[in-house]
Amino acid sequence: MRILLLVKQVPDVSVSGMEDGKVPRGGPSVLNPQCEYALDAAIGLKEDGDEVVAVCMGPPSARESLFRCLELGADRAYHLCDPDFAGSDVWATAKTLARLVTDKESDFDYILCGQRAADGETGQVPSMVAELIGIPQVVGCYRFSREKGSLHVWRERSGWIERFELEPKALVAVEKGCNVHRLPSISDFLGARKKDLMTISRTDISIEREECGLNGSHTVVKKVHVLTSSREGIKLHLDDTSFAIDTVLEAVRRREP
Amino acid sequence: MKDDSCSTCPTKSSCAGGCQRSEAELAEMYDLEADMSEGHMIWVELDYTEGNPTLKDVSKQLLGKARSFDDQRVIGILFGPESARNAAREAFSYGADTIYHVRHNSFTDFHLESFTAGLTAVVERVKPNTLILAASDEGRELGPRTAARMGVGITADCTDLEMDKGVLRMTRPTFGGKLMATILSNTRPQMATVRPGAFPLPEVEEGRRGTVINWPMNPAPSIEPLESVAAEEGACLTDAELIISVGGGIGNLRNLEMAKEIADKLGAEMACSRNVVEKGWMEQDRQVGQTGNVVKPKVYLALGISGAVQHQTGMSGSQRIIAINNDPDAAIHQIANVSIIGDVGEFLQRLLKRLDEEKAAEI
Repeated sequence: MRILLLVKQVPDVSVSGMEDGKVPRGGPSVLNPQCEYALDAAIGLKEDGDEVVAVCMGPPSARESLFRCLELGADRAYHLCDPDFAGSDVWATAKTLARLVTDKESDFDYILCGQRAADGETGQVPSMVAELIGIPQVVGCYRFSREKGSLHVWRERSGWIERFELEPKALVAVEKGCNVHRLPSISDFLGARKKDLMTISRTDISIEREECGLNGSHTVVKKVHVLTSSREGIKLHLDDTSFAIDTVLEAVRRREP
Repeated sequence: MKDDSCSTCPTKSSCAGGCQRSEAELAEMYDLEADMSEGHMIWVELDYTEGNPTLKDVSKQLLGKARSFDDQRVIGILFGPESARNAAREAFSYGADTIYHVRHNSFTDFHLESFTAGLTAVVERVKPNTLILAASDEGRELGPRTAARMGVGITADCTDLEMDKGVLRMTRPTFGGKLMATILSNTRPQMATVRPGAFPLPEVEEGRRGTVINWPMNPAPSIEPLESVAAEEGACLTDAELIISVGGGIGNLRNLEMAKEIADKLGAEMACSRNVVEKGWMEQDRQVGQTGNVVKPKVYLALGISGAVQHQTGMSGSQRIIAINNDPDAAIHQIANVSIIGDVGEFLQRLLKRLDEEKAAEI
C-alpha cells in the first residue's frame, strides 16, 4: 500500500503570538496540528512493504516539517519549493499538489492529509485536490484501520458515527487524532537525514507559471485588518457589587448579542 | 470518476458519451423556459427532520443577504425529491426569484458526487455572478469540490459579504480570528461559503412568488457509509448555545463542581482549556482551542481562563464572551464583552446562591 501524505507547515502561534497584529513571517514554524494527526494515522496504517510519501509545498524552511514526517516514519518526501509557487490561494495550491500527484506518484493507493491548516483555516484544499485528481473523499475522519487491502475510516457527522470502506484511490482528510506530540529518537532523527527528500521546482512538474502561485490564484486578498476588539467590553469588579452577577445572568438568559 | 464528454446535460454522469441532445432539446426536457441572465445563486439546504422539507435557517439568511445586494435575480438551487417543491415556495418568501429544483427521490440525503454534478450543470447553464453556500459540513465539501470542477476560486467561511458594482467583497477571519481578510475573486461565479448565523433572518414576504425549474437527474455513483451508528450522548460542544468553560484559574475541584452545578441549572455545556485536561479534571472531548473543539455559542462564560491564542482559536467566534479572571491583564479580558475582575471561587458561590434564591422564590 502506498500512502501519500499531504502536509502543511504553519507559524507556531504558541511562540509568535501576533501581539502586534502582524502575521508572523520567518518566525518559528511547526507541522500543522491536523497534519500531525494525518502523519500519525499514516504511520499507524503502515505495514511491512508499505510506503508513506510525504508532500509539502512551502518555502525552504518547510523542509523541517518534512524532516519531522521522515523522522516519525515516512519513507520519502517531496518538497514543492519554488518562488513561482509563492502566493498561492486554495485553488493554486490544490492544483500544484494535484499536479505533483498525477505527474510523480499516480500509483498511490490513498491520500491522507490534515483537514484544515491552523493559519488560513480554510479547509478547502483536500476537497479540491480530490476533485482535481478525480477521486472520492471522506473528510472529518478520526479513526482508521486496514481490512483486507481496503481502508476503513470513521467520522462523526450530525450526531452519527459513519464508517466508510474505501477502495484504493481515495482521499481522507483527518480532523482529529490523539493529542500526542511524539518525539523522534536520536536514530530516527539521524535516519531521516538519509532518506530521500526531493525538492521539486515548477519546471519539474507540468504546471505553467501562470497556473500557480499568485498568478494562478483565483482569489486575491484585498485587505487585512486586525480585530482589536469588536466587542463593547464592559469591565466590572466582583468586589464592588452584585451588579456583576446580574449582568452575567442577564446575558446568559438573553443569549442574544 | 469525472466525465468531460458532455457539458450541458445534468445527467452527464449516467450517460457518459451517449448524449447527443441539442441545447434546445435539453431546454425542453428540463423545463428551462425561464430567463437565463446573470444573478446570484444560493444553494438552499433543506431540513427533513419534521417530515415536511423546510428551509434551514442559514439558507434563509443567505437568500436575504443576496436579495439585499443589488437588483439582480436571486436564484436558489435545491436538491430533493418531489416533496421539496414546498420548500421552493418557502424560498420565494425569503427572497428567491427562481428555484432550480434538482430532483431525485434519494436526494433527501446529501450526495457529494451528485450534488457537485448537479450544481456544476446548473451553474454552467445559468452563469450566475455569484454562488454562495453555507459553511455547513456539507457546504464545506460541496463548495470546494464544485469550485475545483469549474476551475474557479472560492473563499471559505466568510462572516461578511458586500456587493460593489457586481464585485463580491468576501470577508473572513483568519489566524484564529485575530485578523479579518477581505478577499475578491477574479473568476465567475464568485464563490463563497458563509458561516451560519453571519446574517440575520430576513423578513418573510408572504405571497411572494417565483418560478420553479425542474431539473431531474440520476444520482452519480458515490461512496456510502458502510454503517452509521448514533454517536454517544457525549459532549456536543459545537452546537451548544451556552458554554461554561473553565481554565487553570478555576483553582480547585470544589470550584469545578460548583461550575458544573451552575451549568446544570442553566442548561449549559461544560468546556475547558487544555490546562484542565492535562490536570485530568475533564475529558479531552470537552477541550476548546486549537487542538480541541471550535465552538461558537451565543454565550461563552470563561472561568479562570487566561485566553492564550490557542484557546482563542477555538472560541473567538462566540457571540458574547463573559470572562471572570482575577488577573486584570489576562488576554481573555481583551476579547470579552463583559470582563469581571475577581476571584472565580467567589463568583461561583455568589452565582450559585443567586440561582438558589431564585428557585426558592419560585416555590
